[in-house]
Amino acid sequence: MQPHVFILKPHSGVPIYRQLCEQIRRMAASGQLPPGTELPSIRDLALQHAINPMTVSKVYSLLEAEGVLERHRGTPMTIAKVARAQSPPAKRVQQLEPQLEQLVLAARQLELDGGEVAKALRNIWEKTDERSLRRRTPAR
Amino acid sequence: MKAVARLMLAYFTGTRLLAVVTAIGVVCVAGGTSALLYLPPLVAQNGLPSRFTLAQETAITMLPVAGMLCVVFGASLMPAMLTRLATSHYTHLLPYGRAKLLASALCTVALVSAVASATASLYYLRTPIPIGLVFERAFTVSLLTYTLLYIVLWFMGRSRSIGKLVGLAAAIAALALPLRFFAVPSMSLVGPWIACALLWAALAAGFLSAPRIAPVAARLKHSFVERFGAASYRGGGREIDFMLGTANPWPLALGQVVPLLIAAYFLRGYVPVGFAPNEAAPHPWLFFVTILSVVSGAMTSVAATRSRALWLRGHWTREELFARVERAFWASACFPLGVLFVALVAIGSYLAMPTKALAFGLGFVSVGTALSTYLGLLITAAVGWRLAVLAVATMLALMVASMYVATPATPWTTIVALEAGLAATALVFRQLAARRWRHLDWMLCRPDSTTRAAA
Amino acid sequence: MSVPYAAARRLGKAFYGKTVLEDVSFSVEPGDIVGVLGKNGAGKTTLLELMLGFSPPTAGTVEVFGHPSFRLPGAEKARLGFVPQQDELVNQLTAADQIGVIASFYPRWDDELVNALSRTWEVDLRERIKGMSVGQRQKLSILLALGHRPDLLILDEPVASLDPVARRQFLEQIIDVAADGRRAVVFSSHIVSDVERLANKIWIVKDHRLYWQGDFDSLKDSIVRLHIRSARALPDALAVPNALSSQRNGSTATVVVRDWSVELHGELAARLAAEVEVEPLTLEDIFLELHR
Repeated sequence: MQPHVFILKPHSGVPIYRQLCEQIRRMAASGQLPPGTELPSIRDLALQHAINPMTVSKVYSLLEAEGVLERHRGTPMTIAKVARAQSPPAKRVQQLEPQLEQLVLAARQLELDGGEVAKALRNIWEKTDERSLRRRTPAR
Repeated sequence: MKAVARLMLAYFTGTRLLAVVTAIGVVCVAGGTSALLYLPPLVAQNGLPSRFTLAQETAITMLPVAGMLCVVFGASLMPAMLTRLATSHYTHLLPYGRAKLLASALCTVALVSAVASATASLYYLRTPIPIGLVFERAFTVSLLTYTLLYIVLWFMGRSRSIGKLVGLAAAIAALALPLRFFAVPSMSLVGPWIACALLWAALAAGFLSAPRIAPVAARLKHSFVERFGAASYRGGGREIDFMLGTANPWPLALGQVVPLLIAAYFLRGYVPVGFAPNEAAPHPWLFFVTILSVVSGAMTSVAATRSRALWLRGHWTREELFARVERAFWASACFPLGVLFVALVAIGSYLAMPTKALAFGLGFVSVGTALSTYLGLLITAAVGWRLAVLAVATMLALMVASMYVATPATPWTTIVALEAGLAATALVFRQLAARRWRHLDWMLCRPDSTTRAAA
Repeated sequence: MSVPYAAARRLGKAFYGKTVLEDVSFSVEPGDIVGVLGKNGAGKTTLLELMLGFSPPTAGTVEVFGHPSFRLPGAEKARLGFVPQQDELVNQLTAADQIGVIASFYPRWDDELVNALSRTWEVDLRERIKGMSVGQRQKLSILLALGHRPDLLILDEPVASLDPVARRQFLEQIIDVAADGRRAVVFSSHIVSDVERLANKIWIVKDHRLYWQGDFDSLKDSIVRLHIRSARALPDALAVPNALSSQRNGSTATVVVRDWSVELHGELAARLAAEVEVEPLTLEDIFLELHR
């Protein structure tokens, strides 16, 4: 799997490990990274993004403990073959919270109210369906 | 051990110039040794007829000595490199760094002494004195004097012109010392051995504590320089002289007196080794004076780099700049040259130098200064192979020619031809230098450490 | 628990009566990349030199590979690498000669690595050091410290003179060094963005002490900027615990705090009856706030 799929901003203030954790969780939950996908090695991911390999290692261990990733002997880390249904929607929604907060903040700055924002959200939701989401992620 | 060997290799071949000098030295030693061993006996040694002229024999006899001197100076990178490494973090960082660095210095001096002793023993081959004894004595004394020599070279490398001259004086003394021990076989070797041991103990102690001493020394030097002034500029000189360092020629001129007097002292009762005391031998006084004549000229090697500042400050074209620089250096060279003239004639007559040699010697010394001045002006970029070889060849030719000029048996026509030839060479160098200055590219001359310190 | 590569306990150093460092404690584990930050003259170089064993401590202890650093045995020195702030190359030699001389001291030298890196980093080994630019010399100094594959690599401002391309190449090499988790890197730099990418531990030297010594992620969680927005005017004394700086403007305030935690969030919001928004800071911002 290509390491450049992830978008990491080392200078955004948000710790890199958290950015990476959230992205992997989200992609695994949404199906962008189907179960069984091999993740890049620690070294490759660190070199590609010029970040500390221990950070990557920490993320992998954290997610392995959470059950999002699994490690097989001899092969790199892979996305766990856990049925999506087993993760309750409430927990999955929790992962969206940072993005939702940002959305709300931006909306408030533009002096929009909740109704207009919800309408826009529904529009975009209907326009993008699952298939077009998968098409947008690069092939393995 | 491989570190010690690798360091020694770097000492002898680190820069292009020194690699050439070392190579020439090795060739001369090997060539001269085989010549002395396998050629028919030379007149000067046995009184038997020989197929070489006296001049040729002189050259052959001196070849191993010249080669040996080249080998000694071929390692002159050692003091500078050793100091650099010793005052850096490397002494602590490298595994057994200090010990290996110190060992490399000792091995280098030992190697050079061994070469010198072997060369010296050559001259006693066909004499009744046992070679082993000669080698042993020569080795002991060489060890001591070459240690001193390298210390002097270290000192010279770190100082300005006046320091260089004082260093030269000490160097001449160091080279002349062994002769005393040679000439008197009954002199005990205990003295030199103890001196050696003490010297190396002091060096080792200084070396091992160098990182601690370095900041203190730097501070002392800084306050010394502050009080006595870094530049030789005493006011009233022109800016060009200040920039080039030629503003005050007196320290250089008068500083030569010290080595001259020291050399005169040692040459008082000089008996040339291997020769019977007859007139066929070249008088060494001209040789020494020629060495000194080259020193003042060698200062021009920084001219190109320092003139960079003049370019920005003046309205001169590069040709005009060359002319002005040339004039400035000749104007300041007059003083040391004048001192050399006086010394040559005065001390030369005292040492019973043949009159012919004295007379022609004056011109010869001037030619020496001219040669080294224009050689220095030729250095407008990093010293490449060609320039290094040219410089070494020229200096060797000058030294050999000085011996011919000083030999009473040489006809005056030969002397005139030699001097004319060398003068012509100097003029050729001048033309080459002028041409180079017309295309002077200051990006290629990096500022040397003295200009950086002055800046 | 393996022996840390470097460890200090209440380390102190004073020169001629002037204190440069005091009460410094740290440990460097295999796999760590430690970024050392501090203003000029804060004592970063002294700290690194003490770790190197270049000068003895005047208080406390510092150990490398389990030995007191000042008396590190010769064999252990082959596991240590150092790049000084001012290069210490021999000007008269060529780069290849300089490498050859240094390499001869070490039992193991990776020629392939050095040659490969000299090609990637565009350092001409045949060039004489005297004629190299400052950046080239710095790159050569770094090469000299990498060749023997040290377990602990200490660098003092290694990228000060490098262009962005060279800096990125250097970063990648550091990642390569630390990637297998068996080697450690400690480097000081003013280029905070590089430190931010690479370091997993941060040491901030301030007022002769280590103001922060620990995990980078914890540092980011600890020092944050709070944006407080209230409907009414805020009280004069905000009384935010561990505030480093604050600015008030009627009903809004911006406060930079240290030792922040999530529990404090709710507490503060309730007490001030205001919205409290937590903004994480970049490392550079953290550094500037600490020195305000």
